[in-house]
Amino acid sequence: MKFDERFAHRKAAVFLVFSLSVLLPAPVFPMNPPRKNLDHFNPIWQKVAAEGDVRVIVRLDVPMIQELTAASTRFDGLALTQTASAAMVQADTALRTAIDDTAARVVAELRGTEFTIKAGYRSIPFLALQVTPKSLSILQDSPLVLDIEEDVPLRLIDPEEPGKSSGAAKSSALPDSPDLPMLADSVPLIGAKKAWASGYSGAGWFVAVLDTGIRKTHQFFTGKAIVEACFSSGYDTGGDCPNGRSSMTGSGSAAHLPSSYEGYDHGTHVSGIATGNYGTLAGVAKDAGIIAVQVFSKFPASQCGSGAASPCVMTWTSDCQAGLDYIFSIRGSYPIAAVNMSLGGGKYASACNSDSEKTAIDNLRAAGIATVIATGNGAYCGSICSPACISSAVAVGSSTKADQESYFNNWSATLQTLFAPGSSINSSTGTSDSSYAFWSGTSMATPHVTGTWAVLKSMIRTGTVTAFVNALQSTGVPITSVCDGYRQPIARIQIDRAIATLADSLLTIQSSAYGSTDPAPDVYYVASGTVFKVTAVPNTYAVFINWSGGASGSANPLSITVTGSKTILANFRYIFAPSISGRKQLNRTYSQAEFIDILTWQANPANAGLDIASYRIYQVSGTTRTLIAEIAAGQTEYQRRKAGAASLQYEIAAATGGGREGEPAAITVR
Amino acid sequence: MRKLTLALLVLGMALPSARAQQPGGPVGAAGPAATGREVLPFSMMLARAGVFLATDSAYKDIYGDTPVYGLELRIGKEKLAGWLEGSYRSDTGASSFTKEETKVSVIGLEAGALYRFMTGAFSPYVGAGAGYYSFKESNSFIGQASKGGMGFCVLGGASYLAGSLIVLDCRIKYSSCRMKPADFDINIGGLTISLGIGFRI
Repeated sequence: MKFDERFAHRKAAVFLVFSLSVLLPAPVFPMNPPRKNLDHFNPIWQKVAAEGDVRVIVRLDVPMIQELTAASTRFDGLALTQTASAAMVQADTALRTAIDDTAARVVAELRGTEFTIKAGYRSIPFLALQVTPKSLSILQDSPLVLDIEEDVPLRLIDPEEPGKSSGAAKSSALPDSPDLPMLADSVPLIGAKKAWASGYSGAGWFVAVLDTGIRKTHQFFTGKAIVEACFSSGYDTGGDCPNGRSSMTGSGSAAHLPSSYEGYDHGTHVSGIATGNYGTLAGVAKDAGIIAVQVFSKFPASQCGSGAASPCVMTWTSDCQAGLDYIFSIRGSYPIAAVNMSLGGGKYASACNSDSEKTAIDNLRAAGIATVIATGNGAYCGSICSPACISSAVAVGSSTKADQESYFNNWSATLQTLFAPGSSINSSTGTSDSSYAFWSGTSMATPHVTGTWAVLKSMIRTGTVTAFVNALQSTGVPITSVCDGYRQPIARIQIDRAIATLADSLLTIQSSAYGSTDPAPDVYYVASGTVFKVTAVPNTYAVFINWSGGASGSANPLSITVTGSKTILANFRYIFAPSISGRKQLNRTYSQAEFIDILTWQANPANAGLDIASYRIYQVSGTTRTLIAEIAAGQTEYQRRKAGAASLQYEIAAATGGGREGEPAAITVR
Repeated sequence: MRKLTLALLVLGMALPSARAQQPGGPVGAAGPAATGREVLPFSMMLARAGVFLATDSAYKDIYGDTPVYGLELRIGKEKLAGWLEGSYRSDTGASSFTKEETKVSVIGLEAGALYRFMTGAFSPYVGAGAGYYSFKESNSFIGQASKGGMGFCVLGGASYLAGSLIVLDCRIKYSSCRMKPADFDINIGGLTISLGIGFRI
């Protein structure tokens, strides 16, 4: 028997339960267990017969599981009191104990057969095993087992290459858009920048990315909080986590697999879209943290699809579940907005709610955490991949900058929740700490939505998944599909409009002539009590004077707490140029000489009332403008010594006490 | 004019002491020159003080008149003499526009020949010579310039042998020396009026 190291600490409990089951005369298990659907098991039996063993996910019959789960999931882990936090820990422990107990009893039943525990869980009643025909037979007959499904490897939703024709009909109907969106375009397209302007950028929140890990030293994640974990049970190894085991947490645990494996850096690209922030490029939730969970394992080329020349990465369903289970378990430690899963497989025309992953997704949703999953790149009409097909997940398809469905998108009017930009998205890659690449796919659309969740959570901390889905669906840009003749629209996310729907207060920002504000003058919808920061930005040669309307004073930037409706106005004035004259004056000794350029000016009366503190004098040469003197406002003359005999160009401009400089007056001194 | 007065005052103060050094004799005695026919020596050492009157208006504007001091050695016989003189003049003025302090100094070393018309106690003379002149000018902001150059001079004056030893001399000299130490071509020469006192040798 080969036990996973992760379960070593439970050996004692398993032994105890096993001992009791042997020693106690009274029957511990129901005498007549419910018969399971044998047809459902046939493919598993066929596989185990052919290969000698098979990986399965066993659904356990945990006593009181619904009640225990409900008690646990009612805690979203956010801002709990000490008492509530203790209650959450107690509920989580009770749930875990019940699951562990049942798992231990099942393991005890398997004693004497050949099996390997691949994964156990804390919040979902499952056990992942690799079993032989004999152990599978015991599981099938066990009253502690409600269902058995094959633990299948899921592929990455591979990035699409422009022009690749997966789905010829859709490809021909939806050719590559000539103006495909980049991250720099897609983020403003979905209204994220306006959300940031309202103060909602994901700050204080985390998004979990179940993917191939992350290159956390990449510049796109500079200064970002990154939590790491790994659940990678390997193809035929004891585990592919950096520690050589099937699970690992802590720094370095979500490091990428070797670059020789195709798709190894998919997680870095996805994470960048959701939360990256470096220089002028930023992801949707630019200030959110990342919980990077590496759930992929190394698979040989023979397992990577027909014709695959190189090995690839795939994830076992059981490892995905372990990742989801882990995210649920740390919800009290980190404020988690959403989980991103840019992975999947299969083709489902209806909800795949029998998938074992639904339980974990349901638990997360009950705790206020959305599981956002890519629909897949097969260009299907009416079908999407699993696990996106799970009804409690947020299934995301890909659209273009022109708000058309991407040609590769798996579309389903009933299963797809939202559209997001996914064509030609520029984000970080694993090649180096400064490498970026344009990738397309529903994998790229999905993190746009995941990031959106963090943005919306930073506005409404307690917002439910359903509330956010409704807001995004009701306010999004409708996109139809060629699949049904462009009839049934699905919303492409538009965050600023969703915020307007969710908001209960609004702030109207206006500006006078000669200036603007950051964020720009507009109406901003916010949650009541939001502290809004507005910066007055004067135009060139203008100065900010003060705030009026719902604000006063001249503080810049202004922090204003918004409740109800409020309008504020930023007032600016233009700083007019002084009148100027100049001459060149010889100053000599008997043998030596210098030329002094004498500039004189008069203050512009139109500047009356402005805090003109000085006049700045520049020498202009071609396009170069060099400050040569700053003269206090009381003076009206400047002598430039040793100016030379040649003509020189000067500009003089009034400057305020705050350093704002006005329109310059120009003169050539000959 | 103030500088000229100063120079003359220095010389005037020297005269009484010169007189005091005259050898004794009857009051009103003419001394050696009284004979009228006797050829008096034409060799002497003189200390000079005077004033330099620039001929260049730029110099005048900046420095005005400049006091000048010198030491002259004259070696002669009968009506001809050789002549060697070192002189120094220095002044402080103001730059033309900013009126910042400007300093100038000229050191001259001149040599030439003199011809006197009379060989008695009173002997008017004329002469000419060449000289090397070192010019230096400085201004705290504009900077400093210096240069040396050759020039010439012509002069005329009169000596008077007061007693047997003391010589009084009055002279006017015109010198010229063109150079370009910095930005301008200038002539550092000009007219110098000086009085001298010394002794025959």
